[in-house]
Amino acid sequence: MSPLLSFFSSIDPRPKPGVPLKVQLSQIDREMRVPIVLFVVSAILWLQAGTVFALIASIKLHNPEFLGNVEWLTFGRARSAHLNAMAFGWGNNAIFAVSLWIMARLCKVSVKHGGLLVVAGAFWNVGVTAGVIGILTGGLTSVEWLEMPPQVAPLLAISFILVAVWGVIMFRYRALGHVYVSQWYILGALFWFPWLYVIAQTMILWLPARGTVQAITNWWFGHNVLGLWLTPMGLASIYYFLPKVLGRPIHSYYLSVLGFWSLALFYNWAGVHHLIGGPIPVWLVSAGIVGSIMMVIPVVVTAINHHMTAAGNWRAVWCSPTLRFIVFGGMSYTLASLAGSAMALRDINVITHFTQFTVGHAHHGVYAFFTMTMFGGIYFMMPRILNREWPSAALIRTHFWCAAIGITIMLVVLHAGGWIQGEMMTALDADGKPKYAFLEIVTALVPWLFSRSISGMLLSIGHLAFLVNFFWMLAGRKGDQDGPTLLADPNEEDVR
Amino acid sequence: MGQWNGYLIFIAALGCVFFFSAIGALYWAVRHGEFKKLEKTSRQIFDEEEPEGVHTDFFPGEADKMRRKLARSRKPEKAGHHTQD
Repeated sequence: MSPLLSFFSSIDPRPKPGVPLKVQLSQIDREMRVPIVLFVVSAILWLQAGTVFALIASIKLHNPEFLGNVEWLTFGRARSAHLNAMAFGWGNNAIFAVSLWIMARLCKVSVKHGGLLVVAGAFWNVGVTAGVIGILTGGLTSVEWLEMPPQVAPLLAISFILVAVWGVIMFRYRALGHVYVSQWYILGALFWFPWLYVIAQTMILWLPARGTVQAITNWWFGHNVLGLWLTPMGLASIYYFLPKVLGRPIHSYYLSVLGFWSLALFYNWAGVHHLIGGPIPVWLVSAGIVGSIMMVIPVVVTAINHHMTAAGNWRAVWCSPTLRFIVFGGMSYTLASLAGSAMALRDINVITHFTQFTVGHAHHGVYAFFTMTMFGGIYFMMPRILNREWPSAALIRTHFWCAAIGITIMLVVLHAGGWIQGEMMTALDADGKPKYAFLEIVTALVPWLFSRSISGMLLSIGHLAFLVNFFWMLAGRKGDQDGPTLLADPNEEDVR
Repeated sequence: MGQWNGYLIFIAALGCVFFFSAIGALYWAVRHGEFKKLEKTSRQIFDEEEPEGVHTDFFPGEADKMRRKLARSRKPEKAGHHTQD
């Protein structure tokens, strides 16, 4: 056999014929164990780092003298370090773990040469670490969502491609049958993200376009990271875990497919709504607004579908740690997306633009929807990967309640405070002059920002509970009951 | 001004490629019968280890208790199903 042929046959991840399905699945889990544990460990550590940066940035907004003489932690740097640690550290590592596992499970193939995934994961984390250090030492760019110094981009791009290639290989060798909607979402996202990232890096930092074209590219990228990377991965998880845990298929598979294709066609256009009122052609903004409003279709379709699947099974949802997080995430997706479409309307945007309302909206999408679904996915996946139960139900409950209450408080105060801020900034007196001085507006925001810090502390407690439970599990403490409940024979209830 | 337009056209072209790649994938999906037998596809997530109709995730240590509770709460739906108590 020629070397090339033997290489291709060595990456063929299909199981040998005749191997029973049960053995295949446990083989998939075993072969993916090391890379997935690496991704999840990195994700959880980045989550903690991102939380610390978030708290620093949040406290500085109402107590500016806090850590005021540490040049590494000025507001601009702490805030950017938070964003990048969360988006590229926590978010991407969690996505790599959960989406690759879902892909492997649905394609019924495993990962050959998993060592390459470990290399990719190591490079990715080195890249993000270098990037965050670059931000803290003042080497940050002024481009939102791309603050890391551009030198780390090639490292990130290469390791991303290594990860994505495994996703595509699995898809290529998938078992016969139709493509499940989660596979569509994951495949789409694996294809969209490198495209977005490379184009944005090139047009903004490597061969910069001039003037406002940079801003257009920036928001095309920034918004699509949410819509064509985090959103599809979150939805892929919901479409997999919700029916899987409940043991009943999705309410309408037709609607789920419709949701995917309308997202694929419309979302790409929506990002320009960040530049409403900016010095760019009005038709471009209008196209962005139309794209944003069109997003109501996939959102409503998805919401109906998720609701009808879970309806009547609320007790079952409640007794599953995975589904508590997943359903919270699914509901947040509906609310955040509808709010996002509304915020793209010029009349609403004039109030919410440049206020904490937008910050609240970002957390609605990235935390209440995306992060919650990733938590759910990790709670389902890890016992199967490690063949071990989560050690503490109390810690899972602590995590859920702190996350759910914390993010709800944060969303309420940021949306309310942001709206008040926007109304004050646009208010005019009888002479048509601004009614409030800038400092008055800043002062009015303090109680809202203070409450946001409190909500952030709740989230931190939740994240710590998650960290402790995870490393406790990794260290090998067995569950105190009769072995791993999740892996017990599901039919034993009938025997009893 | 000339460069501005050049880049704008470049972005618009990228948007079109993006859009048409989605159209291309949609075309592939239609050609490969992806939109037929949707109900069957929706059951692809189940397997013999975690089959349809079985709840597969509980809080650690509470699986037995919750399984019994869920079975009781579902009983009215399944007329004629044998009683478990």
